[in-house]
Amino acid sequence: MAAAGAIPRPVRGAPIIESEVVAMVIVVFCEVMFFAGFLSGFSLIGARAPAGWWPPPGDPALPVAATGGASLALLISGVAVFWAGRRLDADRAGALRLLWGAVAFATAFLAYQVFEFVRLVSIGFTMVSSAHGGFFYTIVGAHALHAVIAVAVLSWAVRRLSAGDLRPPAFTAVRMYWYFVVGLWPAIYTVVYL
Amino acid sequence: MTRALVAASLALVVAVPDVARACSTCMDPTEGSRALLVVTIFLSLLPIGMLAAIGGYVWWRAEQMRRLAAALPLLERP
Repeated sequence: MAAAGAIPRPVRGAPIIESEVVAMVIVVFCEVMFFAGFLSGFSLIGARAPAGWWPPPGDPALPVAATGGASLALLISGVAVFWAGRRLDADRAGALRLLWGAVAFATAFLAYQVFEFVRLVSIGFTMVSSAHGGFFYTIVGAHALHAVIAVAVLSWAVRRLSAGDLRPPAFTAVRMYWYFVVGLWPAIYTVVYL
Repeated sequence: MTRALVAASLALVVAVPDVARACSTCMDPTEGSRALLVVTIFLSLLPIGMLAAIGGYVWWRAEQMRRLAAALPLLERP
């Protein structure tokens, strides 16, 4: 098996980009447009609301600082995956440790989100309490769902890497999805929370 | 039929411009639509920008492979 980060020797008839990577590019492209639509709708409704009416006066203040802390955990996981990809050829054991660390940090982020959702619902902020609530749970919930899938896929990839039977393009595709989930969150945090 | 439809559409634009302008995704232009403009520009440029980035990456990869192929003998695919 070729090393994950090595430049491959050219092979006659080989594709320029592997099919796993092409598939993930298409997925990420669609997902970016999906979230861009939601974030644009959220921004538009906020901009069109009368002054002082967005978020609606009855809605609770979102936990900006605590969510900012949780965001750091997600960003750290993104950096860990990046460095793991860079170190995979030179230090496989270290790279695998970094990848498991990334899974742990992302799981912590998700655990915080579950806690936040439960707390907000318990004080009456729900999907149907206002348009703000509907957008909040749709956007943040959709991202959380993507993060759950990303954690599951990364865990699968790390196990396969440990066993030495993961093709480098598949690992590249997994990392691309991870970068998408991590990179999207600052945009969501800025638009929805700040 | 097509000519009649075009003529009716033009007559509508001239005679009743407000009705002709109505559409499900448009908003009242007098309502301070700067946010709408920004969002429209953002959503229009985003896919174009992503496609340009993907195209650039494919071109760069092709160039990289071409240079490698020139520098190294090609392997036969197993």
